[in-house]
Amino acid sequence: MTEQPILEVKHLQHIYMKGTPLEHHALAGVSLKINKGECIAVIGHTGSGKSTLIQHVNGLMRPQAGDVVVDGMDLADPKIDIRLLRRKVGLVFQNPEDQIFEKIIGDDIAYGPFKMGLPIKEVRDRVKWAMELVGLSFEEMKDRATYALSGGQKRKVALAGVLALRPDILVLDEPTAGLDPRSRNELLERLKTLNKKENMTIIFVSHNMEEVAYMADRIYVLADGRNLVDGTPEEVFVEAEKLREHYIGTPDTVEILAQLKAKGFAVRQNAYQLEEAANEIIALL
Amino acid sequence: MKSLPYFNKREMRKIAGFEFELTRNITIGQYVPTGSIIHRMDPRIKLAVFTLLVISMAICDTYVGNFLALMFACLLFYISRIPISYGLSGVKPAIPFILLLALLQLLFYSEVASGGEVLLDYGFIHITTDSIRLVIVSALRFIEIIFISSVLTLSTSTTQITHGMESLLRPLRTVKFPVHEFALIITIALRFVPTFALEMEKMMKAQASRGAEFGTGAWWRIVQRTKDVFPIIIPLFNVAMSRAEDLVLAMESRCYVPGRERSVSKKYKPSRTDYAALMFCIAFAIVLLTFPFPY
Amino acid sequence: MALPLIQVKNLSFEYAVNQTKIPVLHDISFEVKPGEYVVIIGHNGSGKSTLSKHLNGILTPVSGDVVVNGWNTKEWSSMREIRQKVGMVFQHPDNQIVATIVEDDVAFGLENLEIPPSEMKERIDFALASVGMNEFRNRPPHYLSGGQKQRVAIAGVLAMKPDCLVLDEATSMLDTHGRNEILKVVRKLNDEGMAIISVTHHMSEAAQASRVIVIEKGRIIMDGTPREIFQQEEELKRLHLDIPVASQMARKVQSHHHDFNGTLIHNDEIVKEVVRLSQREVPVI
Repeated sequence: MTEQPILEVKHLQHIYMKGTPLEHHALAGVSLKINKGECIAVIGHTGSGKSTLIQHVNGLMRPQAGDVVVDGMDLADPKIDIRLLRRKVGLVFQNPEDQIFEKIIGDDIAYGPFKMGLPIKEVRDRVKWAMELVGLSFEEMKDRATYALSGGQKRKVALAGVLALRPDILVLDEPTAGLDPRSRNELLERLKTLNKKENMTIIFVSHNMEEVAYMADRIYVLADGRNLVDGTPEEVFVEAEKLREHYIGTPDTVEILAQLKAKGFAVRQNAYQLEEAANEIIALL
Repeated sequence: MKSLPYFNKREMRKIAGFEFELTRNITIGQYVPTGSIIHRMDPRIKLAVFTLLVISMAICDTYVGNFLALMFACLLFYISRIPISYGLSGVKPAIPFILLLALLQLLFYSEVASGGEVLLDYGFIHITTDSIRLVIVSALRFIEIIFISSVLTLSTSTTQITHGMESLLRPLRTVKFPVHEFALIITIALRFVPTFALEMEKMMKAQASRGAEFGTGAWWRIVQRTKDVFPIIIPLFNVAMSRAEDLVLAMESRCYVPGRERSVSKKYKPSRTDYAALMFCIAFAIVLLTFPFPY
Repeated sequence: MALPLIQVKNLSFEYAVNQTKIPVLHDISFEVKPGEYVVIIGHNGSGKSTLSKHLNGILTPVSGDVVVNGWNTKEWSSMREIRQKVGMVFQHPDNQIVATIVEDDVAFGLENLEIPPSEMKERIDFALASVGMNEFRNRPPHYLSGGQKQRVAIAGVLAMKPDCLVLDEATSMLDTHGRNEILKVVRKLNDEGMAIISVTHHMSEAAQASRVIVIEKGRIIMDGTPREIFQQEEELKRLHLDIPVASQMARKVQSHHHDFNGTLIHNDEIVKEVVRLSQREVPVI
């Protein structure tokens, strides 16, 4: 591909509490290359370094060793404009609803754009744009109180608060954790639309393999602060054995096919879509 | 937090990651189980000994005495099998204080420590051998006390500390002081310190990702700087409230009724070693306090 | 026939907020027998958590009764016995651990029950061993993963020797590995005779139960074995509830291949069914 990647991470390392007895290697050389408009899943067991990795993308952490380059900005360079970087990369933390602090929905979403020093008209437009994107009606909801919302709606408000920065890259840590199936499916649809219609590059951390299989164009699997496997879902799920060794599951479909394969049936183990997997079985009978 | 032009690229890599991780870099108060003889001491005796040592260190004002005390503190690290680097990392953040204190003492304490030979007399500055001694002894005291507090907290779980405190405070029950509840409250508070530290770190990062800035801008713009803290404080407060609600439910579900009698899971029985340690420390304290050291 | 451990009789409940009454549960009745494994499924806001809080008397019915082992939860005098019989584990791993060391947290309930210290050690050992956390007994809780913290919370309840364990969305904040750890412990406890009531929105957890109750808008709308429930695909879809992959797959295969059993709900059942059918159909050479 001749296109310049929008995010490139090379041999990134990070050590927490360096030089103390509690020193801990969170990242021991991770590399990623992500192109504009891709939807990327980062998966790994607790402690694999995925949270540390994504905090490097918007400069909350700077590389101790290795390189992080976001759209031409080298994060190891102390002179880059961090505010510009954080506008380019929207980072949504786990349980983002916790970070809502304004009483009124509209005010909370406007916080980011206001901090950017935008004129009031532009702020309003952005809030409206962001709210519609996450499925909250601007006219109806902007003056409502934040505390009276349900968990799923609060999460939408928090997501809109980050989207209002109009980032080129949206990074999400466990976006659906704790949501019920109804809110989860709705949120995933919204993210998919953002990726496909608005051409926003999405990087998300997840442990729900069904979700990863449904959303991701490509997957990066981390283990012990290193790249374990990467590629398209088909390429990654073939390595079911390797994933299991590192406490990472596979979608149930892959699980079933892997068991069949172990029993000597000729099935494609990476037919992870339900329809495909069912067809594999039908073909057997 | 705009950009950090005062660092070059190499220095930048050194400080990388420390912007928001202040809370994680505190080693004081972290329990390090090594199972040493100090770890196994009766917490009540340990607390009593600690109090005794701190008092005697605070009073002792001779070079030799403080040198001995420092050696003793180092010895405690050795016996407890805890790397002394823990103690040093506890001293590190205190260095600015120690230096500031030293400077103040040097400049303004000459009235108090006016004895001894005058070394320098210039304007309002009088430096005497006594004021020099005051400076050095205070710095040593600081280090000694940080060291022994480190040994205490690193070798004693917070539960043991609260249990120890509870039984040392038991006599106060006669004056209707709710000793047990007090101890439980302290335990819970200590239990949630690391939780809230991480929560705060996450909140700062999350708001910084939306463009928030902390501790920047001129100091006289107090209103602005105070407002900058709202996006952290308000969510943190909300989270604390919901955690408290959950905690109450969980405690009630496990049959907790405030004010009702509870049994104590651990009965401590001081062993011979405990009494020996106590006797030794009393002797050491008496030496520190009364022995006429020449310097 | 075993006597019911928990009887819920015509339970209705409403929250009062500034004089307006918000009804949450309507006329709910069911019984749980000793050793049963019941999963209560519903979306956030369906009333499932409110229901679970009635099972040990944290909430008491506005009308109707909840009777645990013969004690009505409305009688304050037997509250201690009720809460000792029905242990409860909550959603947030961090918010239910009281002490600064695992072992002391397990002791918390025992201290409340005024168990003599001589008996405590044995009970703590037993509880930590049954959740596989013995080697962590001297650790501070903040060094544990989410799944490990929840196991400690379960141990804290087990030490009180309950007859029934209620899990109120206890796995919803965990990653897949953590969830599987908990499910394994729960299954083991159930095999040993403990009644389990698990409130969740994860259908995969429903598959391992002996009975599933679906509630929506404060009413029980389905009650049956997992197999019976998962057959009602249309109804579950209408409620936006997930159906286990194995179940969806079985039905898909069945629609092409009528001999295939469409009521399967576990991954390994699918594998066994394929083996069974292929053995029958492969001609003996």
